[in-house]
Amino acid sequence: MLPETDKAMLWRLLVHRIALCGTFLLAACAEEAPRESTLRVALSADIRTTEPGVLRDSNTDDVLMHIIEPLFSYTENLEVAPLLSSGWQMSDDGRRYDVGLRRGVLFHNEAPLTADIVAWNIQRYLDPETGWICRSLFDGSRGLRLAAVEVTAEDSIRFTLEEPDSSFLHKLANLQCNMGIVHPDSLDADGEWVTPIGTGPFKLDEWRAGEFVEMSRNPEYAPVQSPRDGLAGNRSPQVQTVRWVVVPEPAAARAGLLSGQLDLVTKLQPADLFDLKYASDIRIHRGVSLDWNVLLMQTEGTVLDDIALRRAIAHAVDADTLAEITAGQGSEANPAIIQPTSSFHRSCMKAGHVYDPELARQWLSRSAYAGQPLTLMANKRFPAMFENAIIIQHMLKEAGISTQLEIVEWTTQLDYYARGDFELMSFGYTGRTHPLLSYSVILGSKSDNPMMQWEDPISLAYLADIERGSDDERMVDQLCELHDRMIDQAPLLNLFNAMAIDAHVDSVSGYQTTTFNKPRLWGVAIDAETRTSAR
Amino acid sequence: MYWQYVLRRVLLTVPTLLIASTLVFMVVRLLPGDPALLIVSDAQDPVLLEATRERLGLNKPLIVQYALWLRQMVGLDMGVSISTGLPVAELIGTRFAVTARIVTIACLVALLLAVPLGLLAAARHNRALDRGVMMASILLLSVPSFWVALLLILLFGVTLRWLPTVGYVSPSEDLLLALKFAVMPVLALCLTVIGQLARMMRSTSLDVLASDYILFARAKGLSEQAVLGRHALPNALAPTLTVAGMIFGALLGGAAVIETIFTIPGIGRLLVDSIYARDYPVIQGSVLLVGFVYIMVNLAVDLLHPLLDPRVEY
Repeated sequence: MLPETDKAMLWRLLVHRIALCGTFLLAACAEEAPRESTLRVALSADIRTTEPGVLRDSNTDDVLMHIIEPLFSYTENLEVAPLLSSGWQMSDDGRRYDVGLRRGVLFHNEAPLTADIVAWNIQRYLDPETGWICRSLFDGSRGLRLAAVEVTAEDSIRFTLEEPDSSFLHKLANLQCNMGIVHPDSLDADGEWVTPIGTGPFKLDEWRAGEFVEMSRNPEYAPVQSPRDGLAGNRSPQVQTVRWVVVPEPAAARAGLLSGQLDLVTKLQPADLFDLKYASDIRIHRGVSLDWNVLLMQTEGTVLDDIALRRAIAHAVDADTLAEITAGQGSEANPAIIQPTSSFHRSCMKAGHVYDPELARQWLSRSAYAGQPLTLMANKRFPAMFENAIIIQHMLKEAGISTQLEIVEWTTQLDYYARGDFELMSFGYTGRTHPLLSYSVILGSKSDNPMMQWEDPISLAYLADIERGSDDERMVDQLCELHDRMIDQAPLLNLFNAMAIDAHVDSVSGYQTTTFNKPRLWGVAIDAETRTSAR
Repeated sequence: MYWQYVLRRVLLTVPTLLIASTLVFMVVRLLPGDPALLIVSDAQDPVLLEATRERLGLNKPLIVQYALWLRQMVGLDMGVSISTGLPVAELIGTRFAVTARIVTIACLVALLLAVPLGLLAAARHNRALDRGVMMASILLLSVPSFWVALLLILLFGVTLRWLPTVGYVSPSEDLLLALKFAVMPVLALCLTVIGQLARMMRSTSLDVLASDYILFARAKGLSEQAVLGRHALPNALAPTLTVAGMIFGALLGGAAVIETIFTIPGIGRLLVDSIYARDYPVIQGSVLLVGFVYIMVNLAVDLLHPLLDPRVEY
């Protein structure tokens, strides 16, 4: 039993400690002045570098496309459109492209864009020392060989190809390649990368690794005069500053949006909308993206080299239901590797394997399958791949095909994919903008490149023909042929295109989701008044 | 004698870290996954993949890679990150400082609350206060810190909008704002720690309060304040400090979940990201640094013991 004075002392001691912590809390709760001119956008992982096309990933590309610009870009329906260029002219033999440059374009250091600088950039990208990931698209090792790049005038440059290639401009505009034109001062005297001095609507102010990337409006920006369309057209900035905040945890990003500390969160999953759809001050945008989900089937060295079994699997999977469950409202099955809104998409590409468990069982009875469990690999990093695997396992079971799931970490799965070491794999491809680029990630020799999924010499010949050709109608016919062959041989099962889902606070205006599933921040404004009253 | 002990402990860190580094080097390379593939996978180009492996030195035999890395480390060069190209020493130095700041505050706050609570609970053994403290401690111990973190975000960030939920501000930029950003992560971390430390403090205090010298102190008429503060506290504190040191060391490398939820650019998050990216130099550098600090923190706690308890000698 303690005396009263000691009790009081002990209580004072406790209260003192609690008060100390309380003071700490209260001091920290003091209001921060709002920064109204800044658009704050969540970035699911930090960027890798500020150098385009070298140590790249999707987040890095998303940020850099606001700072540097390529000669050509894409409209929403995947047509190539000039960006830094004013236009192009192709020679009759299809080997020479004369590209004009837009006048009045200035780099962030106020130096003008010239053909010399563009040529320097192209040479630098093609130099093996640069480590550009798309060099093989131009050096002849994968078809196209860029024989020469010449400056023909101060604002004109000529590209000469060894052989004609109908996808040349698409390769220049390729999103994964990020062939942005930078000023030579972006590198130091030793040729080491320093910072991107581009021509884009925003200038890089600061990159604090692991925290944020901040960029400010380029006051000298010279926009294209056509309206904003996809990643092309007018790219004029409407906000003073953009701060990309690194928020790796999706729940934290949603909380940031709901609490008004983030203005825009992109690349959401359908399940994320549960928190957001009832919030009155949040606007949600959805659209079909280029990214596509697939079920890969290893046709070499496994039981799946049996075409009857692959067809059985193809008829056992209800891709419409999968799309509805995994990608949510607005998503539909797409048996083609070309996105439905693409200008290359035709009705012939809607033909696919009809969901028919009875037909699946018939094909199964014709196959050599003896009931052994097939391994279906997936990961949890990308929820759609995981959910697809779970549902496909159930659908296959209904048709009498036994599967066991092998859930691995994404890096591990990618390793198995690259070695071709799997039976079934729930996978997803980043969107490609041209059919040639899409087919080139699946069609090829497995012995030369285990990442290829479909080995068919006739289809490869079609692809080579499309590459060399310049007649669009003939190309579309050939694409239909290619699609038919792919469906017939079922080397993989195209399921559906992923949905691009973005959400922003009410005070943001002018934002639209694009088919590229990339946050497009030019033309986006933020209303300071609405924003202040919302907090 | 004392300095010999210190020197011996410091020297022992060298083989410990060497063994740790070898283990880490081997284990991360045994994991399936190729950092070069993560960089160039979109290109689907085996030639480029091989060239990238060569550029990163990943095509060399493991033993050669290890020898090269050790040589670098001896020259105090941690190399550059595979996935970002940034110098590893700079990267982990900046990130470690952030984690150390948050974890230090969390542990200090936890100690300031847990020590008097544990001591009070022991002094009021089997009474309402004791039961209350024990129930609260068990509750705090049972609740995962990430769940506490999410509740804090929902309450103070989303509903009340008092505190920021995303982002980080360094104290050198704006002290008040930095405190505001630190409140929730510190709370989420320290609540669990309070539970552990309060239980430890209560348990050791109960032993100490049952000692003869405490009975003697009371018998000679000392006030309860003096008995608890001057006689019981220093002896009961030593084991609690040891546990606090271990928790502090563990949190320096193990606060990744809290760092991820609160978007704190700390060493734990860096380590997790590096494992996903198979960024070997960063994984090795981070583990070595965290291991070194863990050993040093525990050494510091051991060295504090004789100051608190004169019976302890080295």
